[in-house]
Amino acid sequence: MKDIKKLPIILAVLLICLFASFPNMQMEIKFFLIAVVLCFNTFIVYKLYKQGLITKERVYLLSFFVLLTILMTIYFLSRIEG
Amino acid sequence: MYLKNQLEFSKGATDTKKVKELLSDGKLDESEIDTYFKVFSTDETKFTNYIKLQNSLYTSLNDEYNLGEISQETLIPIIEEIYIKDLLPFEERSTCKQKYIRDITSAAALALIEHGGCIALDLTVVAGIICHSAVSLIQWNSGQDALDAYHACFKK
Repeated sequence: MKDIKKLPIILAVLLICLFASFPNMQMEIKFFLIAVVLCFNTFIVYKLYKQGLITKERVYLLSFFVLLTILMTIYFLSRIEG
Repeated sequence: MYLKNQLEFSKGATDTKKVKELLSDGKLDESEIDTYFKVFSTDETKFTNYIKLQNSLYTSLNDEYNLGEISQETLIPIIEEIYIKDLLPFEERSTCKQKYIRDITSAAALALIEHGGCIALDLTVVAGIICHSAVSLIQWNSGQDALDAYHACFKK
């Protein structure tokens, strides 16, 4: 289980590289890939937490960053004009 | 009204390539006038009426706001604002908006994936700060890029 700790960040970096290499990629494909990796990564984080390889504090930290991400998105949504 | 008429007139242009060609030297020759009318789907009478109406509208605008006194730097953003908010067709505004929303949501989803990745790595405090800060910075930059593209979309 310890070996898969690096898998989520590797997948995230691969996804960024893929999007950077194909900037005109269809939005539907982009969202599909994001959804698959997001589900997979959430599953891995959950498994690691269940095995005790991730502490509760780190899960709280993750919640904080999820909140930060949401707040940033709300800020950008508020910039819509008209 | 003045801007709306101008927009309606320019919408009548059937061939943008031809318009650029006609206006490339900054003046119209006698021989080009017929082509000009054809390209803008108008004729001499309609065009004369259009110019008369625009002139009278400009005069009344000038009487009220003294446009000659206002600098171009002040006037251009005002015209852009009117153009975006009132004159740009709803569908065009909506396409720009949809693209912007898609861009920021994909940036947010990517950031969630990356934050999860940082947590799974079980890094030290310093490495964790670096990892999460980098992710937040990437999201912020992607959002700003999307915002720039959104504003540029209106000016196309």
